[in-house]
Amino acid sequence: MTTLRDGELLRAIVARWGDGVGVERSASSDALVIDARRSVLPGVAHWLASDRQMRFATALAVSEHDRLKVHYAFCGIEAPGWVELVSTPDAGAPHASLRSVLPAAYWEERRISEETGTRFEGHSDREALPASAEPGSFTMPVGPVYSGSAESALFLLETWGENVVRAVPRLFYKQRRLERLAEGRPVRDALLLAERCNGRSAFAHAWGFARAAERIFEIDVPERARMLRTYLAELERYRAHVAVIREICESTGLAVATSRAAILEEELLRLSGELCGHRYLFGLIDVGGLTRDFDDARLIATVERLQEIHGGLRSLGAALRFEGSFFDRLENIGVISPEDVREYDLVGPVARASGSGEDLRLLRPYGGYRRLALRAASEDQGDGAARMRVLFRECASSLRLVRQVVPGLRAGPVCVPIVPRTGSALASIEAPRGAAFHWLECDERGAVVRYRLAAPSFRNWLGFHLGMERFSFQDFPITLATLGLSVAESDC
Amino acid sequence: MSEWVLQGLREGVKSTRYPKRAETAAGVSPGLPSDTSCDDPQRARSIAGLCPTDALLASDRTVTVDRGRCIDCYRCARATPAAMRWDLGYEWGSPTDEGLQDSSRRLGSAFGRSLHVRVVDGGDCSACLSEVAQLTGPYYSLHRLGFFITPTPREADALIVVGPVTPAMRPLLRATYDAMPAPKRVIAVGACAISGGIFRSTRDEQEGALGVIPVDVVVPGCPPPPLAIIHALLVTVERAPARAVAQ
Repeated sequence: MTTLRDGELLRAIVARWGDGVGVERSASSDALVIDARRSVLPGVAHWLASDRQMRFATALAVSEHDRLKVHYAFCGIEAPGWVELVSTPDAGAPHASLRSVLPAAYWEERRISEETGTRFEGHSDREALPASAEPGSFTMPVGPVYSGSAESALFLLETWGENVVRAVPRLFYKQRRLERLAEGRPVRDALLLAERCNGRSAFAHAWGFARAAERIFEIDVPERARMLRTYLAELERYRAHVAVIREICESTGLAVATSRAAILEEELLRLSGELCGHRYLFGLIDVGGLTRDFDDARLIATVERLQEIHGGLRSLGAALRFEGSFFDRLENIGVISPEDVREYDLVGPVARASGSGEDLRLLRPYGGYRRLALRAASEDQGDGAARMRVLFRECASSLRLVRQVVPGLRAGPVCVPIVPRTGSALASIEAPRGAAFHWLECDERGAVVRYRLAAPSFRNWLGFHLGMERFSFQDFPITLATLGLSVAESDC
Repeated sequence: MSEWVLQGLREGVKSTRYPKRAETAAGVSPGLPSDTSCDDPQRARSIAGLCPTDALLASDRTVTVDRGRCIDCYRCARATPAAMRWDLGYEWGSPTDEGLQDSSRRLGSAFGRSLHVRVVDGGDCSACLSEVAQLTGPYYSLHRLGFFITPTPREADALIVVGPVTPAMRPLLRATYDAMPAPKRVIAVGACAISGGIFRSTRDEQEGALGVIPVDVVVPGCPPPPLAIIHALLVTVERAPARAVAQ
């Protein structure tokens, strides 16, 4: 299999950028490292993202010989491996920012500057609210502690009464610094931190972390574990989507629909609890496979129960479709255009509701997805209603995937022992809320040296304002619910 | 509109009978380890060594559990040969020593049938908040017991805290607590709120909600299931006897 380290990309870079870049294959990982001069850095980044169709994953500050360098990671869509674009500042000068060519890099750079004190060109010390263009308007804070049992986050609503000009999120009250806490811990313990990045997509993030570690240790995960992971991940996606559907019903004040969705959600939680002990699938993933095996008959019974629950979800969906007062509140609210999705590199159901067909299960298949039939659920309208349709369609496709896994299961081990080794790896996973990137570096004892979890919510909150312009007050909770963003996942 | 009424009726009554009767449905609790004795001290030490959060303590031939630290990783349950006894119940709410001793913090009997609860997210992973959200759904129907989630601390008699209480959330939790009228009680829900859980760093001894405000009742679990939170609320208003939980 050709990887990004192989000749073609390397030659293309040298041919195009010549003396402006130094290119080498990394000694400790699958990466192709491009050291770019400041003058060509934004150009190379733009070229990788647009001409070469690579996805910007995340950025990391690396200290080399007392100098802080910023590594921007780009994933190839076709070939495995990744590209690290390295930016080295001139002595005493601030780092160049990629914000203008790659808006998604902005929060990654801000995170680096807050952690290390590094300065980036064009970033102000403290992000001030843009001066209001609307005479007579004022800013109304919502949060950080608000509503019944909402996550802690602050929203600044610029308004003059009934209408809101825009809403600006102020996050990171929940920052637990789990990436820092992971440093020095053995990979198996650090995995527990990744799992608790977001409880509602715990399995996906634990799997992403495990994939990164398995890549470093060069572990071939047993076939049975790969298929079971796929099965459990789809069970989780189904439940995570139903939870968002429940929140959407709740935000519109439709009590019976909220109750019916809550019944489905609790039944799914009980289904998980019955199958594997934990209602949120904690403690199942291990580096090298799974911590336990499952009885095939139990897996089949679970699929049958899921099928029953899906009958309930379909009837809820049908009832909502004919409820004009419900759909009127979802249509044309929080519209995000396909152009905005591309520019801000938005991910997951939010992007797929705005015409994007991107789904890492298809683009960079992992686990059992290579062998399973799957189509990306895509809608064009980009409004709240489209986002809800995507959730319903993805629930149906998760059920189909879970059904496909069981007949192909062969008996065999579900975990292999690990032999630690030094190295680094970048792994990607399609979590329920979208693409997540796990960048992990280990030492020879198998302890974490560096860890970065670029979660889908972190990416999508950056685009939050795109759907939050010029709306009326009562649409705020509805738009917020249809975006389905997690604060915990972003503030990890 | 009438269609919704019909659908609601067709669903029937889903609510649990707890606390009148024990809930026996499968999957309502992830369980917690219980104190276990084993054959030899060596084995006890090796079981305790499995725990990533130091929740297990070996003394001679018994392994005792500090439930407030357990994060449900199941390592001690899945060890071979089978190691820790697993408690699949959910009546885990237990008062703290300070909560028991200080009688001025007790709620009067007037609160027994009407308790308003404010929830503060101190940086949870969203699993605890998700379980809190299930409380008001049909399966647990918190309102039938006279418990209500309120959006304002001014109306709150009790405060539920979830998450390890991050530095940014500490002053906000304190402000919420201060805004509540006395008498008031605080319930720390989940391993993070009790001990910092997996996010506990060794440097700082006092983590979770306990370092910020006085805590009266704790509910272990990662996350504690809805029934455990209901039990803690019943303990808070003294409608359920506080079970002595091994600390």
